[in-house]
Amino acid sequence: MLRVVSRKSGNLDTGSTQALSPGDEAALIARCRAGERAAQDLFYARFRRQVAATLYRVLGDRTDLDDLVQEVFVIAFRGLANFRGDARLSTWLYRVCVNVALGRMRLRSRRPQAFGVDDLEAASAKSVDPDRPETPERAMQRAQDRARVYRALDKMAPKKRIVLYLHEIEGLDLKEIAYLVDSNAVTVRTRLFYARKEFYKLVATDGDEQPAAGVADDDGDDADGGAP
Amino acid sequence: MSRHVAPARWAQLGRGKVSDGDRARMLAHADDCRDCARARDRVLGAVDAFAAITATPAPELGWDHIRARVYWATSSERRSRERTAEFAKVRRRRWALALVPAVAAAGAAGVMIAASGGGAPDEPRPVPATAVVTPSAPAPAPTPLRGVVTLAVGRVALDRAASPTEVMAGPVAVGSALTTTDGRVAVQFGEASSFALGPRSTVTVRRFDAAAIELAIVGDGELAIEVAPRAPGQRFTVDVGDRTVEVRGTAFEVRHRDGATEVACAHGLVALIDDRTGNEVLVGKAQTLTVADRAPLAGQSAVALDASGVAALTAELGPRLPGWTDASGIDRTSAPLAVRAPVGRAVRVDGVVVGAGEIALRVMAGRHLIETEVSAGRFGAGEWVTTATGALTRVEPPPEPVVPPSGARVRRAELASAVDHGQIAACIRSLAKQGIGDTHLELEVGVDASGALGFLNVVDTDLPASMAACVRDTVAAIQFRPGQAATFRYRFNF
Repeated sequence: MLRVVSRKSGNLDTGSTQALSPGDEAALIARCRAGERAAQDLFYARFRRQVAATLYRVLGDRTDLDDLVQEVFVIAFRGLANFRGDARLSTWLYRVCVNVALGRMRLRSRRPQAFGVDDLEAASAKSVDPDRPETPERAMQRAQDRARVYRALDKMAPKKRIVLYLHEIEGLDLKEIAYLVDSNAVTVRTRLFYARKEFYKLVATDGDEQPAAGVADDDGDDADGGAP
Repeated sequence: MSRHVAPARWAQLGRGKVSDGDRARMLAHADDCRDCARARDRVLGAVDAFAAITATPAPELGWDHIRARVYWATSSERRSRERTAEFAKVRRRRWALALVPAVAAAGAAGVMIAASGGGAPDEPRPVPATAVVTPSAPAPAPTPLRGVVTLAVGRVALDRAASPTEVMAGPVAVGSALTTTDGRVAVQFGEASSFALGPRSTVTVRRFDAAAIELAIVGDGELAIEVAPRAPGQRFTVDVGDRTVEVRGTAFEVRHRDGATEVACAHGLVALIDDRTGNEVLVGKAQTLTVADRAPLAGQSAVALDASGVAALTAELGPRLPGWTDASGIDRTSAPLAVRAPVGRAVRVDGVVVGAGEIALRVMAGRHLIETEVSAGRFGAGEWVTTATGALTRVEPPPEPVVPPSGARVRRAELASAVDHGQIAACIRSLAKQGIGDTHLELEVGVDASGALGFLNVVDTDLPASMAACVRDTVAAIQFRPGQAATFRYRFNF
């Protein structure tokens, strides 16, 4: 039913190559299924940056990123045999990335690791807004904001975190998210509602000993997404 | 003072999804409330940070190295698909090859005996492709070596041991025979020395001591070898069938398939020498050479390997354990671990995919997290295991929950026949009167074995809520017959 994941911002394929036509995509899949090494190399070369960028942005640091990229491609090459073509190849691969990232989040929640958002900051040190020149103060503020985002995400349950990330940061709609997390839109909507409340509360109270008296739990007015 | 503002409302304000009146009220409140002002700044900062996160490019990684590891992990699975048919074919061919010279020799012997009255003809016997690593200066009292299996994946055998776990337990010494069908085996015999068999290979260990290591590839096979840098003046040679490869401290692979020998060198220098003519071809760092068995070496030259090829070559050696002193030292510090995952299901050890299916590997003693893939890209809840030196730790992931045969089709048909279509039409009559069509409603229905409705949810519709409720109530009135429990979706298209 779902064919393409559209995105408000960012691009699944961060490489310079153009998107494959459906015919080329089908041919590439068939060659990969047949075990043709050159086709697998092409598949890998085309999607490796997309996979790495997705995992990097979802998780916020590059700890074990090599292993995760490897895992995604191993799963992808194995799973191509069962790929039915009900979504674009890049969308399907994005789904595998999401599942691998979810697995890593769950692993982290059981075995906390050093927080590595500094890596992400270093990688995207340039100013996002060209009209506003980067000043040391602004750079520091942006770094703090990003660190706060990932600190809050790290405190959330993986299922809520991934839904929030896909909607708020990647800009996907409910049906697209439902496909990626193998759920239905109603569940995603409910999960997103609670995830938003939790995330923004965590951001607002980040670093405080106890929640500030002035931070409301809920004002009962959620125009974007609405209550479940 | 007005009411405090919920943090999520600040995010909506940041996205312009708040009315002007609410916006003014919220900002006015924040001017008076220090906590809300701080929450506003943080939330708006986070919303701004989203754009920066989205624009973050992919970091530069060791792409070739990752590709090589992917190749290592997937190639054995890919070949396993070809194995069933090909393995039988290979065995038939070996039998045929073995019978032809025997019949020919017997026939020739008969002719010679008849002609001269005695003396068998000196027929050359088929020589198996052999890989021999031989120091040219033999030590006076060579110390026997013992290899340690560090990884065994899939269908492999070592002497009489025929499972990854048993292969892991057995030492690799003189006389050992290693065989792989769809699997791989990696053997370490020094700090930086190891060899690994690819799929569909058989290797016998003819000599294994400090002076010489002599391995023989029987028939077709793939053998990747890395030997530590040699001592001054020490030389190593590799014989492949009727050819010799001279190597020094290097990493290389010898492959004998379909009547051709392939030598690929990751680093160091290899010389492929024709034993009959003395011609030789050098294969240097990041080069490969493929020559048919009986083809002359003259005029042949090595070609360059690309970076991914070199990385794949190195990756094929498999894992090596650190801190090697000797094999018994590794026994004292490492622990064998056997994971019996379902066929084709990936296994992760401490977050790293090590293979699929039944796997045995050596890990350092301590706690490790073992996870098994339950569906594509999705790993089940991991299991922490504590491994002790020398003791085999077995991990058998719990079987996947057996899903009873779905009765969804039966129940769906039952719903379709039992639903009151007249009532359904009445539910949406007002839309029909307005000429509005092409609407739908999708239900998720759970029916237990007694026929009772477990749940009935509207999962997707574009009908007004009252009509959706009417349709749902109509379906809820259906009396299902006792039968198979099922959960299914049913879509009404109007």
